[in-house]
Amino acid sequence: MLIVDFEGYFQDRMTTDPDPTDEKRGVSGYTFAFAGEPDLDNIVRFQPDEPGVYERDFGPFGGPKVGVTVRRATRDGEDVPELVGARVAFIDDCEIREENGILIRDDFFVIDPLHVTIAKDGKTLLDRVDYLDPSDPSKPIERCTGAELQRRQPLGFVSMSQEVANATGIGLATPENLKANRLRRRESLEILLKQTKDPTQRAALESRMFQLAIVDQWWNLSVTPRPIDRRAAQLALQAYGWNVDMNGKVSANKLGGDESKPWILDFWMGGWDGDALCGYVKGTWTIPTR
Amino acid sequence: MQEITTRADLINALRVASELEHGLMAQYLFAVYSMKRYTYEGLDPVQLEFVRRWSSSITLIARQEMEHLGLALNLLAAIGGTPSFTRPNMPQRRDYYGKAGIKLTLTRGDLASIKRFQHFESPDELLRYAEDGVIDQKKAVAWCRRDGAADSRAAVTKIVGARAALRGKKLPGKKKLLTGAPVLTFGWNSVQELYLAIRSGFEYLHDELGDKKLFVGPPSLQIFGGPKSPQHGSMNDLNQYGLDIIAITNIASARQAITMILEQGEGMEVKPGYLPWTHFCLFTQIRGEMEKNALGGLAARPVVPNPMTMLYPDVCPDDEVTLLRDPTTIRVSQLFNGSYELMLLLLLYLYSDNVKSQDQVNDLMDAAFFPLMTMFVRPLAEVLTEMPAGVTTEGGMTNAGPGFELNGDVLLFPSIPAAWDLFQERFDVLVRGFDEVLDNGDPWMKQPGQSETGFKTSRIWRRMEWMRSNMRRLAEDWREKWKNIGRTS
Repeated sequence: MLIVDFEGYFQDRMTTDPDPTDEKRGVSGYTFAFAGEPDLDNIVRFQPDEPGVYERDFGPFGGPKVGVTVRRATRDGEDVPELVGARVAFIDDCEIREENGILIRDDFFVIDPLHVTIAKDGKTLLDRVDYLDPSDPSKPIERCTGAELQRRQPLGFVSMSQEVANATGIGLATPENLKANRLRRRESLEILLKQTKDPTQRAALESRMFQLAIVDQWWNLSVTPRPIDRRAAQLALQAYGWNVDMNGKVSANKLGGDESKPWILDFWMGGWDGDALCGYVKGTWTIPTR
Repeated sequence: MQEITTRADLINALRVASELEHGLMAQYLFAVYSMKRYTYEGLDPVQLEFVRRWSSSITLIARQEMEHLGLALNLLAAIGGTPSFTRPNMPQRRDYYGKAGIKLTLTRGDLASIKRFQHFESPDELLRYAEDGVIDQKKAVAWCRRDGAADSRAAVTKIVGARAALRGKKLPGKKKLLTGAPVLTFGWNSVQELYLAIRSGFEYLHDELGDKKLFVGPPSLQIFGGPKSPQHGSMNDLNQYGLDIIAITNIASARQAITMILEQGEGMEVKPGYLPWTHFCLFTQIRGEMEKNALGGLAARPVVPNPMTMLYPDVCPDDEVTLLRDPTTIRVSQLFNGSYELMLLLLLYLYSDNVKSQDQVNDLMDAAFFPLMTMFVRPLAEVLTEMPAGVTTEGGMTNAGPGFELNGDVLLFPSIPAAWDLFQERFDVLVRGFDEVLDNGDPWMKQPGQSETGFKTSRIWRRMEWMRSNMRRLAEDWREKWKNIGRTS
């Protein structure tokens, strides 16, 4: 049995409700394509050099850097150190989809398509796809049954997850700390703005700073104290329990995986940073060996 | 100010308020959906960033008008009134709402529209200085900056001024309870004055009747969010998208609702720090930025005013209507109007006293709130502003837009057992409508890239295909009772 643990930041330039899910620039949600930036496209990208990744400047205090890698691997209980640092990717324009209640509801995102690769030194070591309906691999997600979708959904959510906060290194998963994190990012952008001359970049920075200043639900005139805003709360929200028995074609298998059996992909996603358009993923790929 | 001293008066005033909020919301949405989004529309990235920020602000305001509509309907339901989504088609004469001067008309998001919206949301104090329906911008800016000088609610209240009427003082020379003719005319000089009258009416009737006799409608016939809502924690809990809709059960919650409406709109009795977020101050800011950056005429697509598929008998004056001429655009407009009307019908059932199970309540919310509002009504409206009207109006306006057309009152189906099947027919008709446009639409729409008249056909086509696929799924979900929706808990 080969067990591969991976984690890191991914990017997803995704729309957020109540914008329609094909919104390109962002209007009524809290994610935007700012001045000079490419359109939002909802694609999950694990590696910084994938086409479409657009990493924003976070100023002197820094921010997330895209890159999901293998952190540990074992074969039948023995460490496989040569796999550490290998690049993990969900390819083929993978999305975490909801379609605002048409496909699924309440942020129980369905991940699709699901095609996972692990590569090191430019060589693909493992590559397997999963089919929503193995009897009809080309079936579009819009025609899938509830049971077929459930295989690709998380089990649930944890708010103020310390596990997420530990993974991303933001400290305590408390509302006060999460709000402080957003304001510190804003402070960093303010310093960056002073050094920025380009009018397009300045316009984008000003919009980002405006969004980062919203840490409480300011509109909640009837609730005291005002609840924390989702721009801050998402930093410690965890969607857990994706567990997919990957069933499809294997295109690379240099580590001796048993292709007749499913390869189990288990992971959580969380720590969503709406300013960076990045989140954190941590998981395990369990591959029976021949 | 027209006084309210009977339940009938209060019900009628709340119906007027609901109609008004609905009308304002449609106008704001029309303007924002017309605004440019892409560099190929002739703006540079910095200009587009301004327009995107304005679009976000106006969408937020429109969403809060939905909140105000929801609160007005909750207030209505709480005192035994019948919630309604009825409103006149547009345009209407400026004196349709009497001296309040609220012109109902659908116009693109240019400077003239923003000035009109600023006037709608103006506190009474500034209306005095308005000339030809335009607010004095210098005074408006000063008003909106007062918040920064105040560091307590008391200080802000002092700045706003003494407003005895706001505090629900008893009316002098009050009429005998439950007498008097219902309101037949609009007797208020502004939106603010209407809500002040409603608040005084609640206070007066509460003094006479008390909570138990005044608030006879159960909260189960209201839509609200937050921790006490059955929808709390789900995507149907509306109090997570810039809204704060509460249930009305007593005089305290009624006061709270009306205060929220006045705070969010005109900035009355506003809490420290909140003034920049009020509708009036947001429109003041947009107007200032539009004027400073000379974007008043450039921010929006060349969308014709009041684009309609037909001339409705209730519009006035007729010559402010633009009858659409392009056959494909007319079909898409009909799809928009059908989606909009279906959404209103679903919402109306949520407020209705008809027997319905919790599952059916969930059905209504699951279809109306997110799918219809965000995945059909809005994208169809946006697509329309990129399509040809088939006619060119004054100033060279060539594009269509969403007419928010209503074929009379929005009413419950008379046969209750068949209601869910009747909804199904509406969904299926919409699927067929998309098929009609996409399978039998005019050739210009099928051409990749750009039509001869400059419309981005590939982009329109892609969005229409995406909506068709979603509508097919939604219609099937309704038929199959959502069995394919996936895990939800």
